[in-house]
Amino acid sequence: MALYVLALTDTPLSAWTVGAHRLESLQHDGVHVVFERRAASPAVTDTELREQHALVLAIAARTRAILPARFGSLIEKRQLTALLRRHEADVRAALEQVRDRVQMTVRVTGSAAPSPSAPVVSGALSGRDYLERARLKSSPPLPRQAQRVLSAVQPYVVSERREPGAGRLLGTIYHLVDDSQLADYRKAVGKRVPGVIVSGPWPPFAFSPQLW
Amino acid sequence: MDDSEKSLVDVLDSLLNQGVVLNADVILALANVDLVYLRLSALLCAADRVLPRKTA
Repeated sequence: MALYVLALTDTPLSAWTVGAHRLESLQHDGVHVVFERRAASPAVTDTELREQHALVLAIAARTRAILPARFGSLIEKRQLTALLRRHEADVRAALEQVRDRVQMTVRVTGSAAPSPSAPVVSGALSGRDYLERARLKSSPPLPRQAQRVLSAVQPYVVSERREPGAGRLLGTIYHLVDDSQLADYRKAVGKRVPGVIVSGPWPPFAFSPQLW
Repeated sequence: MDDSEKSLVDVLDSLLNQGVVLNADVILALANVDLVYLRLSALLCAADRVLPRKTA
């Protein structure tokens, strides 16, 4: 049977059971891979997704540094070992970055703030103008109330990743926050702000490396 | 948006869009989950309508 990978961590973990799932781990050069033996990937359903999320939370509760795997990460042991050998430095650096830290997620919905006008150019666009237009198109300015929330929490953010949204979702901002700063981060968020949805703490899904 | 729906949005986003990618097969396998993302988008839009709007 192949290994259904749930997370990478730097903590040795003995096999244990969570509900109907038997979790095991294998070690490669100090990186511990937590997995379940499976013949196939689970189907993409609400139930399976929630179950996997619960398993990741169970693993996170036992370790200080966790890099959760994407849903459907079924892999043969030999492939996994080769992958870890090839990306050892990236994995170690990522584990170091997330140790004793959690992810907070900020989603901004609504209508985009008026965009600063892109340079008006007659004729062919220069490379610089083209890139500027592309930047404005892919990440339009966020509404003022969202910008206020982001500024307020900034002192407590160790690292940030932004993803552009689509439609009413204007963008998602992922923050990596020290465990010790979480209370201050939440305090800085303050009261509920229309169009700004803050959730967490979560395992640092958005700060996990791509290894393939 | 209640806590359970908010949590579902994060579960969908985290597991389908984030996390360590170990092989390209995962990307391909998840390429047909548009329906899941449609649901995520619908949930977010619902949240936007339900949350109180800023008064002028």
